[in-house]
Amino acid sequence: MSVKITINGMPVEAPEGALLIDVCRDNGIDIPHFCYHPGLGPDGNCRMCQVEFVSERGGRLAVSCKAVVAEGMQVLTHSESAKRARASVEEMLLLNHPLDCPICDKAGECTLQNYYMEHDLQPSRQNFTRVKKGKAIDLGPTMVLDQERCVLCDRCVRFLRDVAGDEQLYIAGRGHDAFISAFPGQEVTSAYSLNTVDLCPVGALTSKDFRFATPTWYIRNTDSVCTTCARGCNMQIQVMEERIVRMRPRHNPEVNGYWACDEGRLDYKFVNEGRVEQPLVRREGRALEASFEEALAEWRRILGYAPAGRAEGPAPVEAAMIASAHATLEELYLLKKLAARTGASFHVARHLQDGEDDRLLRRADRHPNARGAELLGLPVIDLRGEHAPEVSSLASAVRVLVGFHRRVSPAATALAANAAKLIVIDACQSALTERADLVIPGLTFAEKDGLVVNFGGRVQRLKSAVRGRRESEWRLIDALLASLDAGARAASVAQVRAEIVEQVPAFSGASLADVGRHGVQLAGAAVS
Amino acid sequence: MRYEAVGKKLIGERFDVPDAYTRAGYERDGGYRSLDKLFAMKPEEVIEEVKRSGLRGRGGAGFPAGMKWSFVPKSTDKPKYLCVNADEGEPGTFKDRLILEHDPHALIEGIIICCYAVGIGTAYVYVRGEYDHPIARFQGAVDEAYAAGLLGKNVRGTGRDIDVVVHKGAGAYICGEETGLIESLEGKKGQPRPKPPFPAVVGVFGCPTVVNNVETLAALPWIMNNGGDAYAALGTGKSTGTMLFSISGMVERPGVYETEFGVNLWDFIEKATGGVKDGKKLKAVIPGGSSAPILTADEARAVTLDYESLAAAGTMVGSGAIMVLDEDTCVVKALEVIMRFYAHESCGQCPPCREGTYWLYRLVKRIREGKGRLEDIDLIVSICPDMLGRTVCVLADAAAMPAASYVKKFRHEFEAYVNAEQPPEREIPIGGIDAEWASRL
Repeated sequence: MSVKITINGMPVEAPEGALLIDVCRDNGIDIPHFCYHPGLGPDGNCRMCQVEFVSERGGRLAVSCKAVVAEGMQVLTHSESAKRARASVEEMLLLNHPLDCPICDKAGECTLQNYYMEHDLQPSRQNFTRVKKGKAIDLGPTMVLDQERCVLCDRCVRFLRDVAGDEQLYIAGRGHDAFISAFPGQEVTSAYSLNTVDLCPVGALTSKDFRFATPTWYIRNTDSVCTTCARGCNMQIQVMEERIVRMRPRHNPEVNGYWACDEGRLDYKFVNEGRVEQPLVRREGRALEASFEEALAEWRRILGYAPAGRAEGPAPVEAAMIASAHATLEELYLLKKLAARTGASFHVARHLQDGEDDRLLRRADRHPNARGAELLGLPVIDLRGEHAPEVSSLASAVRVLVGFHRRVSPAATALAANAAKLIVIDACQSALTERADLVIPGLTFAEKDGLVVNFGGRVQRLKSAVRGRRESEWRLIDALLASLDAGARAASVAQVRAEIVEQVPAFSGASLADVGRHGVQLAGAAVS
Repeated sequence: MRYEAVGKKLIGERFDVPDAYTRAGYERDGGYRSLDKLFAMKPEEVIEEVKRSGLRGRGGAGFPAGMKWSFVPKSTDKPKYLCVNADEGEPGTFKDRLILEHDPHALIEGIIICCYAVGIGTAYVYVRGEYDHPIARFQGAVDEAYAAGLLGKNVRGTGRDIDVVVHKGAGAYICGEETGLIESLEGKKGQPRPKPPFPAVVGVFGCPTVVNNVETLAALPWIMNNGGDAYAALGTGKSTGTMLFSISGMVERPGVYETEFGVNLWDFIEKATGGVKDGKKLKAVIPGGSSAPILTADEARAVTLDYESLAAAGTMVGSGAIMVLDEDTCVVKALEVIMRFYAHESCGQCPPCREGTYWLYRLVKRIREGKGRLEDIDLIVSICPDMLGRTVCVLADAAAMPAASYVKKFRHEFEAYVNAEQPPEREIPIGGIDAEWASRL
């Protein structure tokens, strides 16, 4: 059902029960607001979204965030009185706001700043000393609070209480003395605390991780997906000078709403440091740097294959390949082909964290693509604690371990335990790369283009946000496959995707070529 | 506390009866007489009777009581509640305490009438926390009423259950605002809710709720006994009946005085209190509590005391707190005290109120300290419109209305401070407290 309303003389059809502020936005009119957020609902305290409602009795100002559209409603969003009302709210908010924009982390993405440019642009009429409140208050492991910058929109309080279920902030005091605070003697420890920094329309709540990292206008954004757990929260990877400076959730109603957990969004440090830079070939205990071509040749040699078209060389060796469930769909598909071609066993391993999925987003499965592995028909090994249960039954002549770069646990190390020869393809240095006979550098989620399938069967796309200085895994595996049979190499990752759609029943008919910003739900793959 | 009526004695008819606060004394004086008639009527007939009386809310807003009741949904599976607003927070107001102290059973009888008419099972009486004696008196009356079967299960054999719970407030002005009161009652910080939805639909614990002032409810027994038409015959126009006025400031005999609506304002004050103290000249009258715009002496002598006339004069009946300023009283200092009050009591939700009240206070204070500039006076005038009707509740209006009117009508006094002329000497008169009185404490 829909209702007909009039906005600024323009007839608009709006869904019944919709909030006027949303209807205006959907029709290209942004009503300024601080306290309203689509993920939190209206509160009505900031008074910034006032518009004029017109009836026979004349105009009446009211907030648009609390107004539910009704048949025949007539609204003026930019009448003189509406503009005056909003400009005066803006003025009131700026009365005691510190003028520290040049050193404020929020500058450039600050709502208050933007609205000032839009509404006021006048010097302050207030010439008193500004109200003093707390500065640089340590709120706990993740955040710092500046009470003077706060506009008391209550978003942070409402998010922690209503969405995260961790009531850890509140508004203390009253009137002009009111301020946001953690409860006395306590810290903000919510696993979702940093969402309040995103929600903060000003620079009151800042992330310890991002404080003073960069002015926001130097940031380049790439839409990608978090790989810290099986949820696959949609993320914006923010990069300055080829280094990730911040990750923030982007809206996906089917996956994460507006939110992400702190762990996920801070899980990018390994992209910037501790990387495997060069292929390494171990000869008589010494690791020698090698080119990719040399590394491929070594891989073939260890597996006991001669290059295609040449008869000599040792016989193939029995090998076991194990990929982490961090590997992308394309990588897993090609590895599966490689395993089939070389007669090796192939398993996918994932760590399960102790404990359950939490009430909001976080999954016990700390990998982005275990579901993808299952759909490819690959056996998945669950690693818990120090145990790698199936390892003793795996071939031990050669082990190939792919993509364990993060959190190489004792259990992951155990996967290499009794291997005579060890090949590791990985982005990060670890206990595994230390002892491997062949190390080939890989890419992290932030550098590669690839698909992952979340626990609910939604295919989502990782996009390269940082230029990788190494070859991507899928090209590497593809090159090895091609060299074994002198076959043609895939021209692009898109070609691999097309092949998956063609070859794997679970992906039959899926539009993997264009998964879009919100991903593609696989029919019949939704988790019960 | 002095109480007298100028003319018709209605609300205060038992204030002089020494034991009217006991059930025995109340019933001897005709108390609880209306209940037999009440229980013989249908609830909707009771609402009609109250509508006919024209009784308006005595807490400040003056909203017709019967109409407020009729907004409560008839068919709902939720319990309905009554909140009795006994917070009496408007500076200068001290009339509800007389009812609680001297005629608490009249309030209980009014509660029973309202509960019966609207179908309410529980009434919360939210009393100003400082009112120790009135609370004790009222609680005693509630206990007596329970013992007599007037409250509790199956009231008077009607099959209706009516419970009364006395809840002490903690001293915040904003908890006198009906939704601030509800939030506070629910155990939360006293912050008004955006309306709609109004309490009649979503009130206490999310259920339909009537919020009525003490005096409003205390008028109900008389209306039930004498009929809505008899009540409507008193007063004038849409201002029916009588009202208690708390008169303070520079008058000979401050106190609570009852009158019918429709009398001349200054005439009433003079008859009731004996006029301006010590034969001084009248400077101004604040007619409806600290949030009411001020009237000059000439305006106060010309205006009629009723809702419509005062509205036409640009001010309001409010909670009936009349404050009188004599020729020696400084309007600038009076406004400073009022602005300090509103800046202190703003709950802080809405920027126009949170920032605006404090801004106004600082401006007035700076002027009073002799550090102001002429632009500050204009600034006060220009800030006020941005605070009117822009917020969740009317606290911002309550600060901006007096500020604008004091400056407009007594601009010369503000300019005198700015120009460093000798200001009038007397300290503030709010609530009958002046420097002389304070020095005796």
